[in-house]
Amino acid sequence: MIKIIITSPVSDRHLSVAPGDSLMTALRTAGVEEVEAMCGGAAACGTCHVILSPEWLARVEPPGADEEAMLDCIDGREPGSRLSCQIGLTLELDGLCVSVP
Amino acid sequence: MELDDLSRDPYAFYAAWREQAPLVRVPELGMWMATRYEDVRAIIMDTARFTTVSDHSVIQRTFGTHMLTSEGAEQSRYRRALQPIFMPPNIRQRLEAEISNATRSLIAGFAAAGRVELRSAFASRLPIQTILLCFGLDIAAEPRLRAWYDSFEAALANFTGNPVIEAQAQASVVELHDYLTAEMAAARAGTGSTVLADILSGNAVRALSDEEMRRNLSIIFFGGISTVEALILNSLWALSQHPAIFDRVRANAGLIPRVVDETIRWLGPVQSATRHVVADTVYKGIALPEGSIVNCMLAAANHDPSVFPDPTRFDIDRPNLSAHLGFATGPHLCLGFRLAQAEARIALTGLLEMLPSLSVDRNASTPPEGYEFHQPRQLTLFWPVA
Repeated sequence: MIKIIITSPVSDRHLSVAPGDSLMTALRTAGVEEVEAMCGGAAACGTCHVILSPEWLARVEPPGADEEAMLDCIDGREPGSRLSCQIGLTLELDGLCVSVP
Repeated sequence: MELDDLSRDPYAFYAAWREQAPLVRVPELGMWMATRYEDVRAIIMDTARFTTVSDHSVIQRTFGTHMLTSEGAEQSRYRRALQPIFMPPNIRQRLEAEISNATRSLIAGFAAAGRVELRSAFASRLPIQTILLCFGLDIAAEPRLRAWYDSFEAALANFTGNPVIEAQAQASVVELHDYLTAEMAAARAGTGSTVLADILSGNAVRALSDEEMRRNLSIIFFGGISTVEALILNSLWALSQHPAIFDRVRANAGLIPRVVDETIRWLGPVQSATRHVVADTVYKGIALPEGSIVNCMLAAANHDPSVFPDPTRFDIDRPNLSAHLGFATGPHLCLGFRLAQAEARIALTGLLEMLPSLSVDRNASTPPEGYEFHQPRQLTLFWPVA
């Protein structure tokens, strides 16, 4: 299991999740309902937007073309903005800090 | 099974099918029905086995290849080109005010009458005006769009294959494409829509040919017209059936977004998302030959009691209200879901602000019907006038 630290307008939470899934799936499974993820992980809606700090951003794969196009037209894109459905959880991401806008 | 019964009360059939099996074959319709939330979701997400691409679909025959009849890289190229129009910055900063003006202007046209058949005077008109505003086009084109899309709807409901109806739809496609060609030319020349000019100069759109652009615009327009008409009518129908909730909403317009979402769950305008089996496969022990049609019943999934307890109850306080699949999900998730939500919210807000004492005249309205598209054919409102 790996630890994920969530900062969100709803509530801050510490989660313990299994690696292997996407970050979005882990968040939804843990009941982080404010991450709507309407398209279920197809990078087609922008409703699973999260923000990573620079040190964590550097440790995940960069966005693909679909994610980049979506990030370009969401509300409030920041340098650490990512679609959580496009981030695969690996053991290396133990302790990941994620902010839900 | 009588198709008329299915059309009149599809939810009774969904409940029976949901109990029966993950997929139920309905010979009268020549297709399989998925009705459980988990199966509807799984099949829609599994685009490798269940595709929107089919030579047999009317939507493909009518509109050609576009984002709703393609998968993978092709679909994603189409969608990427047009999605900025439907994202929050554009909707909030530009469109909401324009939709609100259109809403108020339509209501002002009948406010003094004390009575209106809302479908013809408002619900069928606002979505066409909105889609035109969305692309910066003149709303004077509304009657032409209405006529074209009426013929497309007739073609989609042409289950007997009447050649006259199909020919009419084909003629309408030609006229619609001519209209779009002229508007695209004007936009490029700097004499037409600046919104369209911006879209056409974007990098993503440059990857589309003009023909691809016309086909995708045609299906986007289609996707935004009858669907939102039904959403407005169904929301008011739902409220009229639940006076206590209606009273809360009259007192607090902030509840309207919840009414819209719960209406999509409880009385979905779009009941189904059709998929075609790519190659012989087995789903949960059920053998499906290549080319089989699997209709994913979004409306049935939205009444699955394992996800929405007491599903037949209209309840705007549900904690998981937005988990409905009314906009489908996966790569084909409704491109305009935010626009649809905003438009229905603005329409209901405008009606309740300008006609605060409105009621639905049940005797001059018809109950929602239909198992593909579900809505009242007629909805009459009345209110006191000074």
